[in-house]
Amino acid sequence: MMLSERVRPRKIALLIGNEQSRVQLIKWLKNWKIGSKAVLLIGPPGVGKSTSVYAAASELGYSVVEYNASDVRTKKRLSEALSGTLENASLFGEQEKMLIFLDEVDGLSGRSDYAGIEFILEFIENATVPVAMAANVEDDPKLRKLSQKSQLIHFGPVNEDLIYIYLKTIAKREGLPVSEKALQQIAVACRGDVRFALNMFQTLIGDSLSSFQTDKQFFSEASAMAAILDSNSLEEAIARLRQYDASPLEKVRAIFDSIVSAKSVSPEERARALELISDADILLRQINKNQRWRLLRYLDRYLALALISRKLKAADSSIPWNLRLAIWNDGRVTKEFLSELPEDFHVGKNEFAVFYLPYFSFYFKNRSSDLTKFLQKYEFGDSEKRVMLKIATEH
Amino acid sequence: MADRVLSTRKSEGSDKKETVKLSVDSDQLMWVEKYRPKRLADVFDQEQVVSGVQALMKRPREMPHLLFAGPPGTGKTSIALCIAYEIMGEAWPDYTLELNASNERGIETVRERIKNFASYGDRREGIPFRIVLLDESDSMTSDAQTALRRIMEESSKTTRFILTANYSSNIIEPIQSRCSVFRFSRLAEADVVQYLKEICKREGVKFEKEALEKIYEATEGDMRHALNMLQAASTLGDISSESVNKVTGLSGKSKVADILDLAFQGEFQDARNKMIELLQVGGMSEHDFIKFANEALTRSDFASSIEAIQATAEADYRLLQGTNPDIQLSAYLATLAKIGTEVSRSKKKI
Repeated sequence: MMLSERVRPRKIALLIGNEQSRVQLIKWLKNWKIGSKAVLLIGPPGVGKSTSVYAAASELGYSVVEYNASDVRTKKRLSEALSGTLENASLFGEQEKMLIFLDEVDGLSGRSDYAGIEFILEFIENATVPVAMAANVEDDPKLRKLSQKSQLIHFGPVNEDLIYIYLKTIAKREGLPVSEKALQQIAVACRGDVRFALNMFQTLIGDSLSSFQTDKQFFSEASAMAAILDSNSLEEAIARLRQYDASPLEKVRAIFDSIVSAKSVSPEERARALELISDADILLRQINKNQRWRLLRYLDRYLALALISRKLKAADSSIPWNLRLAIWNDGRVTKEFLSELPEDFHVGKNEFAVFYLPYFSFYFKNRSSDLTKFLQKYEFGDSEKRVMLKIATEH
Repeated sequence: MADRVLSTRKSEGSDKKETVKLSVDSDQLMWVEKYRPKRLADVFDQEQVVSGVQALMKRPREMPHLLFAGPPGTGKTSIALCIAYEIMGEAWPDYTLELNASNERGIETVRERIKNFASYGDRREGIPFRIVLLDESDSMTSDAQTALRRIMEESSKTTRFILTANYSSNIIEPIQSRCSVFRFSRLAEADVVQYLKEICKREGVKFEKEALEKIYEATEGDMRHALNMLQAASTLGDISSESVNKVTGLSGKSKVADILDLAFQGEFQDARNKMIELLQVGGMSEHDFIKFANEALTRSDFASSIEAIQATAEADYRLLQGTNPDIQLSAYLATLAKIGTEVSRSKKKI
């Protein structure tokens, strides 16, 4: 469904950037034998960690069993999941080689309710199959033990020129009329995150997506969502939602996006549908907070009620791409302002955002010499300058 | 630091005071800091509070904990900082811990950070005690307040607490009873206008009195907001009704009002995009959004719509549960759009 999923390279040689790291990964898996270390891939989001694992595995004849932070959150559940996997492995061990991939291991350790790191340590030391893990940061103290016991492979942001050429190739292959300038903008704005670049790219091309040649997986995901939205009765919608293979959060988000971007619904219909999504959101919050998984059974019901008979179309994101670009580019600079400036003005962040920053921006726009002084005082650079000048005009 | 005190005769306006003194810190670019009073004598308003505090300053060692309650921008933080300066002189920043709502102030912080700071005694001359300034302390959880109460007792030999709050009623009783409570009143229009005038003169900016009154009206007596607005308007030449009009829409607060208008007109998508931009790019918190939405609602054509009031309260309640702000606020705007369309439809029928 998502472009980033559809164009995900199936061969490790077809990824862009991080060539050395990919070579290391392939070498590790090729030479893996019982007793070898697990690998820990470290790097920012969207630079190809998971994709490399999947591609390497498929090229060397492994099938991947993946767990990520949202699947397993406690030691008990993790051990259940992993031991189940290993039993299956011994059953099918003859025919199929298996690789276990633990994504977002830093996401696990960040949670106070999580006692899984020790378990993972124990698990990787006794594993009879190759284990690959991925994390965004290395200096997390809770990950230190894990990195000592694993072979580390670092991934960095992908070069923006490479991303630009990559996007251009896709545009050309798919026959999409996208301006070079827009592609350049995306390549710069994504800061080395290829997945993000693809998502922005997809938002940019919008509806022309439907004319894309589709592969099997894309088709099945898109049609699942379309089928859900097309349900004729409440029971049908609930049944289809239940079959839809996505996390509760993703389900809520997907249907929320579809309702928000729907053009042909009446204000009453939209308000009613969003009220139900808001109820679903409350429910989900209760479930997550108190671990009341039992309540999940009502979630599909809320979602089904929200979408039934409203003639919705699947939407990839309900936020226009230029706004997403602004959130990405400028939002983080605003956050920087809010973490550094309010203290000097003896106010809180929230008040500074509302009653200070917009006026400062307006003032500096017309007093460039004072802006220079201000930027120097806080050792701010060009991006801070750009955003400071923009705030008063933007919204 | 270059400090200079200007004294000017008041020519008109309030008759209760003869002069306005400007305290000027010319190292500061932004007027809101440049003209922040440094000494209690520089504070031009809140006479009752100032005289009460000055009485306490005669025996600083015996100063009790203080609780300042009142609307935003009426000088609570300024007077607290003045006290720190009066007692400790230029060394005050080294012995003062300032925490406001955006600092993590859960029970953990209270126990660790505040306790560590407060329990340390200084044997330096001229430093009778340390000061912990807790701004917006009414936003602390009652658990954290209870922990704070103990620390206030245990550390009273080494530290004084100055708490500020919009409403003293949100501060637990045991803390209130350990503090001298000072109530700050909303600043009077004549006083604010007089003060803004002095600043305009000092900055060499021409002004119309009506324009300054307009600033007061738009900022509802919040001095910090008024100063920021004045400084922004000053870049357009004279402070006139036109230049003030150009800057009154800048604050995040007035943008929330614009977004509500859009929603009531049925422009749901537009309203939602602007809401997301205000939160994600502008840095406004979702709780502030709903707070300002409530304020804007009372000034709008829909002030008496029970449905709109209910929707606002409901959204506020739901956000407090820690739900997804995008979903909750989008649902809220959709409800307002529905109400707006229904009202305009029924008007057409009539």
